Amino acid sequence: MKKYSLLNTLLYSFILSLIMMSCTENAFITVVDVDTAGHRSKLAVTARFIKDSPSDKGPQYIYLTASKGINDLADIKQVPNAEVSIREGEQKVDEGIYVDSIPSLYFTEKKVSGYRMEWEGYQPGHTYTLKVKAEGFEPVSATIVMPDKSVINSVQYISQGFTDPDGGEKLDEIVVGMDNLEKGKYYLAELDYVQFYQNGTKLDSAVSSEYLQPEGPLYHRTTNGGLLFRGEDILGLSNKEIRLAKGQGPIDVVHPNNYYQLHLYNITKDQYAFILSVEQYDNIGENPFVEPVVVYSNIENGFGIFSLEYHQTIKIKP
Amino acid sequence: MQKLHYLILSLLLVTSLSGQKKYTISGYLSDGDSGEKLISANVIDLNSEKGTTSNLYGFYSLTLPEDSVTLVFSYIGYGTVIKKLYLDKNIQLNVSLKGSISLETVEVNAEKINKIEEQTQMSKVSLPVDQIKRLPALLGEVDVLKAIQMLPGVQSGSEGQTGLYVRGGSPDQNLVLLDGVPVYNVSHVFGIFSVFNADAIRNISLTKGGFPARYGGRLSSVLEINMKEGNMKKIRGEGSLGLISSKLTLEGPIIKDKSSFIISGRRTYLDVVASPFVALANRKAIDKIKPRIYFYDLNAKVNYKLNDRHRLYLSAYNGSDVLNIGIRHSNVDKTEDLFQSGLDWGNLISALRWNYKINNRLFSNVTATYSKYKLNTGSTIEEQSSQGTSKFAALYISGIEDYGLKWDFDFIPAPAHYIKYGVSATRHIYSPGALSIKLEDTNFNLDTAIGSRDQFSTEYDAYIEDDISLGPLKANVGLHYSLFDVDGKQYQSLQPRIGLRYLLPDRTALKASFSTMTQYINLLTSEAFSLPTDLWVPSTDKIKPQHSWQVALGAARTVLDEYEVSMEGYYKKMKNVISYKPGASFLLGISDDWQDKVTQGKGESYGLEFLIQKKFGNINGLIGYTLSWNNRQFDLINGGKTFPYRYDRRHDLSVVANYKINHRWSFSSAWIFGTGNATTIPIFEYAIHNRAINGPSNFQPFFNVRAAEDKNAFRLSNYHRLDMSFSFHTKHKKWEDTWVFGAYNTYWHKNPYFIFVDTDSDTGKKVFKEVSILPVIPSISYQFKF
Repeated sequence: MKKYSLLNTLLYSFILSLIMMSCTENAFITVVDVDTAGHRSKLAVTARFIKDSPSDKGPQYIYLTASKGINDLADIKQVPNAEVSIREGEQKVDEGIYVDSIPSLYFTEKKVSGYRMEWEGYQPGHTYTLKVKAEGFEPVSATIVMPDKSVINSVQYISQGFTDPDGGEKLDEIVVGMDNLEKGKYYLAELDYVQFYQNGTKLDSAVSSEYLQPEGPLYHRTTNGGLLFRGEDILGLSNKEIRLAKGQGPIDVVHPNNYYQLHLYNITKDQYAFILSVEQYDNIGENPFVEPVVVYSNIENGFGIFSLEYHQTIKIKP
Repeated sequence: MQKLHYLILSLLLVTSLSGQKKYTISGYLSDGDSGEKLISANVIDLNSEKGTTSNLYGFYSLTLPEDSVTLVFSYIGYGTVIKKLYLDKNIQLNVSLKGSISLETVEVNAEKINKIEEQTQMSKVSLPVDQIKRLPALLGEVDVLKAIQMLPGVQSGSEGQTGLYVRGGSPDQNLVLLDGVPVYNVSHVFGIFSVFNADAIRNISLTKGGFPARYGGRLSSVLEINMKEGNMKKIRGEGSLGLISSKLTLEGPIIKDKSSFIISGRRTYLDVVASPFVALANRKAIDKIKPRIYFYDLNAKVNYKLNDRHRLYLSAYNGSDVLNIGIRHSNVDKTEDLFQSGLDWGNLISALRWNYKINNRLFSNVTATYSKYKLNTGSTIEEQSSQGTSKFAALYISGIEDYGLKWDFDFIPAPAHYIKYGVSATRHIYSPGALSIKLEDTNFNLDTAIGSRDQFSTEYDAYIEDDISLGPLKANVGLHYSLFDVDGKQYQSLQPRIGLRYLLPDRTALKASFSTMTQYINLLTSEAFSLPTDLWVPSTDKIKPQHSWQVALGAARTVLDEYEVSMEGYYKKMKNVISYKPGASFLLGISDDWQDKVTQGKGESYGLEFLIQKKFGNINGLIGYTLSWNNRQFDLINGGKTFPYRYDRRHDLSVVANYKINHRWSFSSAWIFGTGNATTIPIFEYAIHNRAINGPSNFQPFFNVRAAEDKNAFRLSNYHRLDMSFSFHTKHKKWEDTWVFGAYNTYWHKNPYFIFVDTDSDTGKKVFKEVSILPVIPSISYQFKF
């Protein structure tokens, strides 16, 4: 019995000492030296040139910042006076000098601010190269092909037209017929609701974002409630139509003028990969059980994205 | 099948006609003490220098011309037996060899046939179970897979884990066979221990490349583990008492020399050890906690020798991990709330085998197999109040179940040919995760199930291979065919295999091999951790089968008659390897189809392996070194750029030594070194404009991204540790015992398990911290044998 007690005491002391050791942080944690300061600052570009249809003009966003080591506690800085140019082959199509920007700044002659309202001249199927040079940075570039525009031939709004296979309430559905819906093409769809209201004697309107519900497993939802998908992901590909379910139940139509507007973007494969990776990055947080996400970039020697795309707005009366 | 047999026979007769009458000596080789069959034992005729080896069931067959023969039967670690006779008829000759005592001391070169340079097969390593059992072990619990991890070309995953990464492959690319039955989850306690109880195991071999045609279904390795059959002569037992577990094995004859059994059990008792602390903590607590944490294994096997031609075996394994916590909360109104949460997982496998010696040259084996892996995890909450009782229960179940039938033949028409052929069919049933939720309230009831539906597939395989001897040149040539049927979609694959050996005059063997493999089932697992929640899923019309080809070149030689020295270089290409998409995991979107969470890509690995191994003697052990590169490429990961696999390990070195100091004391040690695992950590930050992501109605202008230069571009600190143990043996009249005193990670190197980014509260700067989980762990265990 004595032997048993002694053995028990020894055993418990041993386990207790292990537990106590495990409670000492320093016993199990090693701070490692990682050369974050060694990260050489590079240009981070977000350049999105959108061509609206049918005007063939649209906004041009460029945003230039410099990357920094994570132990550099200063704010991320923009890169003023960078030289920005767009070329088709050897021929310069557009150029400007970048100025500090916030989204409300507008284009001025020979200056590329963060947001230029209208541009034109780029053609589907043509290859364009963005080049950015700034003092103290390695020049960066990206080359992409302007995608084709979707040729829309019909739009239908079907009340409670979509039944979720996993159950739940029926959802309204938007069906857009297209002539050139194909595999290997990339799309972004967003939905707004334009609501009218009486402001005294005046009729005012307000726009709010609506959520689109994926109808197929390969659609990806963006943080803005939009959907990102490829031609091959479309369930109705053989019918040359995209079917998008509206995330909420039917809205009470208060004013007869109210309508939805569907934004359909024809985007590049690069832009698709970029948006997807940013969404995934945003979703996972610090979850160690999830595959880490590296945000996609098509900028050579830098980070970010250069995107050319077509944008069509389709008005839909519910 | 019979027609195929006659066709092969007639072809071989044409090639080996000599005009002289030939007769066959055949039989079984067994251990003289226990009656256990001896695998790969040698039989050689000294007069003609022709020989053969015994198969997995101890059967051998040697066909020679009519003449005097001097047959030498030998096996490493056993005494040699010599039989002289005049061969003028077919002879059945069963031979028993005595362990470590030489019956006759003769100058023979018989053992050469079993030496590494004599074997056509390359990239295959076997470890004697006795050597494994002498290795120092974590908490005194000897582990077969941890021993395998010390071999060149094999890497462990994270610290303490039993996962095997063979020549750049992932753990699901290893076919782990226990008595010929696939084992789907080889881990206990999240990979700290393996499910294999060394006391119940007879032999272990790992094939990393140069796969003979009889193997199929996985890309990277075949790990064959065979259970003991049970002592045919007398009742024997062995066991151990350790800090966290105990085990006991009993074996013996049911009918002497005709039928035997073995039964072996192991259970951990962390729950029992912890119970006084739990009781103490619960004494005054409002929340009473009741944890249940343990695992157990049970191995059993019986065999029955009907006669010299027929023998039956029935084997089974059942093991499970239980991790459960219950909390009872006492309310002020004297009602109680109950919360229970648990995770349990385990394997159930069994095999029924029929050995049939059809004739002196033809041996067949029919096996019916069953394998099941199941994971249950769930929680229940029961709340009592004055209004009544409400209950919530959620249960998540996943797993895989196999039914298989195999028919294998060994046909030995002449000493220059050893032909194996066979067919098999396996029905797989996959449960890729279903969640059921029940809610009972006074005014609301819910009972629903979500998740992926069960999937079914059938895999058919057929193979033929011939081990051909042409003087110094030996070749193993074969073809493996497989057909996979899943939901009406069919995949087929024809996989050629070839292995060559050329023996130089100085007895150095040059070896080369080429093999292609196809894999139809996949494990959905995180690169970072292997968990019991990992899912086995089939190839489907969306998820294509994995393919690989591998070429290897090497040289092997036995030096000083005891040291096996081998060097191999390999190059392996893999296609359609599977990975979770970035941001995906089984934890996110349980209701989503698993096929939408994964992506397929390519893999490439190459390297050099070096091994010196001494299997027996007072000093034995091994030195294994691997220099390797291992990369992956997925269109949807890392922007499509190639990146190093997490377990891309440039250098991997193991030095293992066992030393028997005297008849009482022995010493064992193992030193392991590995380049740090590749991982992704953010080291810089940049901003993107949100308008690059969303349309005009987005209102958050900026989005900061913390990023790495590339995926898996950072290396954790190098891994190394020294394990040591001393054993003290005592022999009593009827039994013997051993006290084993050991230490894992003797010099307490903080081996990194994972890395995380922390913020220094004083400076605000980011700090990278590596977390290690296993410090120096002393152990003591008591082993006995009777």
